[in-house]
Amino acid sequence: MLDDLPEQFDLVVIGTGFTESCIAAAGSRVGKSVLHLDNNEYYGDVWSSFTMDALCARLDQEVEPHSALRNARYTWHTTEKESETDVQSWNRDSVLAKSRRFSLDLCPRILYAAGELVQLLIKSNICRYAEFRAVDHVCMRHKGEIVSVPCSRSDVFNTKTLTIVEKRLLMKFLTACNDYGEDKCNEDSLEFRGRTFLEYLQAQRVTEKISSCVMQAIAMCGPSTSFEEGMQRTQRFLGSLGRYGNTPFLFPMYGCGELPQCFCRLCAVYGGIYCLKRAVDDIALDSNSNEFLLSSAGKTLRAKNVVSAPGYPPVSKGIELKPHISRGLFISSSPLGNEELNKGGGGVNLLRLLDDEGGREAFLMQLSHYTGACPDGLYIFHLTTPALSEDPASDLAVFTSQLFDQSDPQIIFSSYFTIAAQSSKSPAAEHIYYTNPPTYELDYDAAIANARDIFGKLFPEADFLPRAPDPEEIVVDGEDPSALNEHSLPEDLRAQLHDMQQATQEMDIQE
Amino acid sequence: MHGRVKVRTTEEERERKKKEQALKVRAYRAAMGRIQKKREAGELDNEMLSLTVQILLRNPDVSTLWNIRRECVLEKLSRLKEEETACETPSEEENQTVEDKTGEKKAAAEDKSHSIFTCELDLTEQCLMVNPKSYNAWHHRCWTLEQNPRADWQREVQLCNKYLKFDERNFHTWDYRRYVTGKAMVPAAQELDFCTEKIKVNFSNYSSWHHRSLLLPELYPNQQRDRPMSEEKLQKELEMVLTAAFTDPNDSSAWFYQRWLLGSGAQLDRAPRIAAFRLESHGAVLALDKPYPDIKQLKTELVGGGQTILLESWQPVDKRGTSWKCQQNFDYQRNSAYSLSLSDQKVDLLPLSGPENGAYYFAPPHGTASCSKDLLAELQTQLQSCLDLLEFEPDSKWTLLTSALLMRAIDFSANHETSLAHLAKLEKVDSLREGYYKDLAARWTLEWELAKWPLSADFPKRFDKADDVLLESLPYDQYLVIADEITLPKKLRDKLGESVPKTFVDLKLQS
Amino acid sequence: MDFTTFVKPSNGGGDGGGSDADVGGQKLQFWKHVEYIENHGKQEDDYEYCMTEFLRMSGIYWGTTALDIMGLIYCCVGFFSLTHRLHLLDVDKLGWWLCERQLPSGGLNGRPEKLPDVCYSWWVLASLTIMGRLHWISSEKLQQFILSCQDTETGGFSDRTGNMPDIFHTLFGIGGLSLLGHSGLKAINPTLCMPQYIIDRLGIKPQRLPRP
Repeated sequence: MLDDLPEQFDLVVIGTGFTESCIAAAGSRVGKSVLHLDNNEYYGDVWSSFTMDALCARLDQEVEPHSALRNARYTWHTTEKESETDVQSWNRDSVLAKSRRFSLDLCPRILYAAGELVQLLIKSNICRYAEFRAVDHVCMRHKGEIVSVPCSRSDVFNTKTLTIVEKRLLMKFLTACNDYGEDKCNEDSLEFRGRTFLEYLQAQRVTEKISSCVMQAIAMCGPSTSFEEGMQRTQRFLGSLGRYGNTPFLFPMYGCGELPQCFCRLCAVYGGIYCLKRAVDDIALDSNSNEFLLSSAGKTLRAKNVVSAPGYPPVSKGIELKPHISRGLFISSSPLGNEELNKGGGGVNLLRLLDDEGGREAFLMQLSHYTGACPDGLYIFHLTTPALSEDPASDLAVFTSQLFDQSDPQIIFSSYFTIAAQSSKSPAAEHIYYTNPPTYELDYDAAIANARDIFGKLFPEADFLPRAPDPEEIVVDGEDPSALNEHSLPEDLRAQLHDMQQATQEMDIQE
Repeated sequence: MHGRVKVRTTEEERERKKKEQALKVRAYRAAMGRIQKKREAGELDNEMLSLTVQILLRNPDVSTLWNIRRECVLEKLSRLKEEETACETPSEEENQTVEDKTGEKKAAAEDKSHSIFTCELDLTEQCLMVNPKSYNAWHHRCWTLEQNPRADWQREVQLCNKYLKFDERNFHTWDYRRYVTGKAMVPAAQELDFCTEKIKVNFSNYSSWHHRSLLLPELYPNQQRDRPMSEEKLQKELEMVLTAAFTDPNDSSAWFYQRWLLGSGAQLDRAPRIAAFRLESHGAVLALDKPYPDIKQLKTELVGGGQTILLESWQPVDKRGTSWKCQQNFDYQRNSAYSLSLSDQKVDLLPLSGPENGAYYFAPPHGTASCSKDLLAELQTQLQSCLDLLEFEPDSKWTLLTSALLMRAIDFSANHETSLAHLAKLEKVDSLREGYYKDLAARWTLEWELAKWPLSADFPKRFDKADDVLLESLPYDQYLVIADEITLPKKLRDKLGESVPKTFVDLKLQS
Repeated sequence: MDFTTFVKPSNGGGDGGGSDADVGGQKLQFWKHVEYIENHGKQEDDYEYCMTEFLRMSGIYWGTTALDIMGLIYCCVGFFSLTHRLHLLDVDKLGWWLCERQLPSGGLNGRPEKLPDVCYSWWVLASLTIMGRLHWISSEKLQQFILSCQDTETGGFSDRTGNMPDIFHTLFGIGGLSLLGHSGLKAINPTLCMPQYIIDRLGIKPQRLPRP
């Protein structure tokens, strides 16, 4: 394969993570020649998803100084409860036996139904390559219990957890939020400028329960979030309601690891070339031609531009990596929350957690077999929080105790790891663009913004993943759409008219 | 002709449009001309059918063409019948038995008629795609199905489901659904579930609520016939509808349904009831609770003093047909018990106090419907919720109106002042309907006054309302016909002029 | 039918302008509408005239073919009026439902949560008038709405402000204004939708309930 490689590329992308794949696809789409490489023998890099075996292997892998994945450990647990006769008893062996039925994400996200990524996927037609599952419930912790937050009008109507007056107030509030921004000069905008969203909520005379719902689960903000930001986040939530399923969120079938692959597929369709399990040994800048010289497996390639994922050798030699995100990944044979949250054998649910002071937050995603990411009867809990230390388990301890201490879940497997980020740029790599590592966010907005930003620097004149053309827009040369004559009548009318004209000529009709 | 926006077009556009329309007119005229000629000639054939299709697909509202199609279909069906009977006569040359041959022919005939019906059904479906609100298309579909002894009614129910997905409020579809579910023998309980599901998904649907209002009285009839359905079911409906009403602040559908629930249910064809009656030696006067010009149709009998007298010679007292007088002599026996029957209602009369020889009956207009403890509790909870909401939204028209209605349902006498206060507020807050609220206030006032009247000392001789200066009209005036004297505020008396109700004394019927 | 006798202002004004009555800053453009009506039907090859032929063929009111529930309500109330059976209606209940058709814009809709339309100014209004409940809606606001639906260029009324006018909405707009007592228009009979003086002349007396 390497011998067939051209020697010259407009763009070489190192690492097939999400952001890198976006850039590669965008470059290829506008006609640039693209070579996309990855050290690993799988796509997605640290954004990828793994089978059970592969995850364990990955977590076991020796940590190199430049690895983005660190501090990893995992434990198999034996559940003390005796299983009932007809329920499958899960343990390490039975789980590993179904290894291939798992798609375990290192950096799982959910998508807003009308968000940046969904729009991008639709616009560029990449959505053809991907399938999604609507998230069933958005939850929050209320008085120690996990409850579902009413999202849609229908939810608000059907929920038993709010009084009817509360329902009314919530709907009024959400309607007001939805309309916010249409009239920037309205009273509220002026009155609350510069103040917090929480103050605004309190002024609306909504009950404490509604205030929690909005703060925790809908706007997903903290006590110091500004009024404008809070309104925007609420609008973002509302704007994605009612499109697919009952909540504003989607999750990719078979895990988030599918998404970088979709972009890679698009890249390939437009001519991009792929090499997995291929490292770049060295990169130098040719000051005469202003091109990069990359040496890989004995071959030298020239590239006008290079984009790399953080932490990739050779460019990141001597780079310091610091902890960025602390992750917990658990496999359980019982779901979190009550029956209502898990109808039909397992809800795909989102839960945002706060520590007691309200200063730190985490989000939990529960996946069931409906996402294709695990076998029936098992559940995956993904827990994510911004990292504080090199010990992800301790970073997450306050949240795991909220989740697991009281409810006694049947956890079979638990693992913790850190996603790290570069703390400084390598001096040898001034003109190479590095993508950002995965950040703590719910959707992919920051990642896409990063991709657009880099793409904009690489190819300032080009469109970022422009829309695929519609068949009707393709005009055949020679047609004059403005000419009108009998031939532009619908065919049946035209034929009829002709027949009638014949017939009437022969007949003697009086008006 | 609805919803056609007026758009400024250029001269060129206008010309182009004119040419196009002129052609269409010619085609249309030619087709219609041909159709009429053929009809006159009695040519109800396939050509006729195909001529009608061209026009109907564009404009399904040309009733005449559907009539012509029906003529064609009937013609075809009768010809098929002729063929069928014709081949029942045996022929010696045939190899098959007569039964075989008839059976075969019959099957073939059935197939042919089936394809005739299918053709009509397909056409209506196409027309409904163009205009799902075309009376003609729906009607033709009904007609076609009625002609077909093997009509597939279940399929029609599915069709309704499909159309309701496009437009939940198309009343044609709902009416059609009621018709076909009857034919398909769908149990009412199943239909109710269908309706409930629709409401759970979207409660802002007047048509769904309306559908419920037709099913519930059948499924859960009220024994006393003074409420729309059984009290137990009513309680649940009230809860659901108020939730809907509160959850969407802007939708009025649920409030309308709520008012219906608080009412007395359909009182179709109920015979009028005796509102008031007074009898003395020279005549009697009868007031009815609702107008009934054909009083002579109602058998009215007076029983007492050892006699049964048929009262027949009624003359109208007012123009509305609510009060009548009967000028004849009665041999009233002071010590005898009297009763009056009107159609199948029978009431006992009370003797007049004082020196006169006479008896009377009075039933004030406000009846109290039966109310179980549970229902009463529900009404009170609802009222409380409404009053709570009024704290947040003091000018909410529907909340004001519904609380007033709830108050009256709970205890109309104790809540009289407050409910009137709500109406006064409504006159300001919903000023478009000021006239309605004023008339409603007058009705409620009179209902209360008439309820209290029997407790006053001079009852039934005097009715004194001279000091209620706010009273602007006098509903229920027929109830006062048994009084000797009526005093009203001067302003009202002047306003009523000729319409001031006549009293027993005015009618010169007293002893 | 000679429309001009119906529309001509009773003060015989020939100034070619509007009426003297001004409702919320809008005037009724009499002569424009007369022109519009007179022109209609003069061009038999006119597209619109041709496409609405089916209505004239059917010989029945638009309300029962191309329209909706409100037209049916009007027909039922009208029927009771013609047969002197209005006592069979629950006038207060029906009247309330009808007066709830009035929206903040002043216009009337056909059912809850639907848009207003000038043709309901006839159906709802005539029904209310027959039942003696015309005062349950705001006359002034409705007049404002109807007037806003006139096409001041070509004459005629459309279903909603800014849309294309047509002959049917013109009839219903003017009929509605007459029921509301707009000055300068002759009285119209709500049951038969014809000038009252003609109904009087024919000696027909459909039932009509008085105000309570």
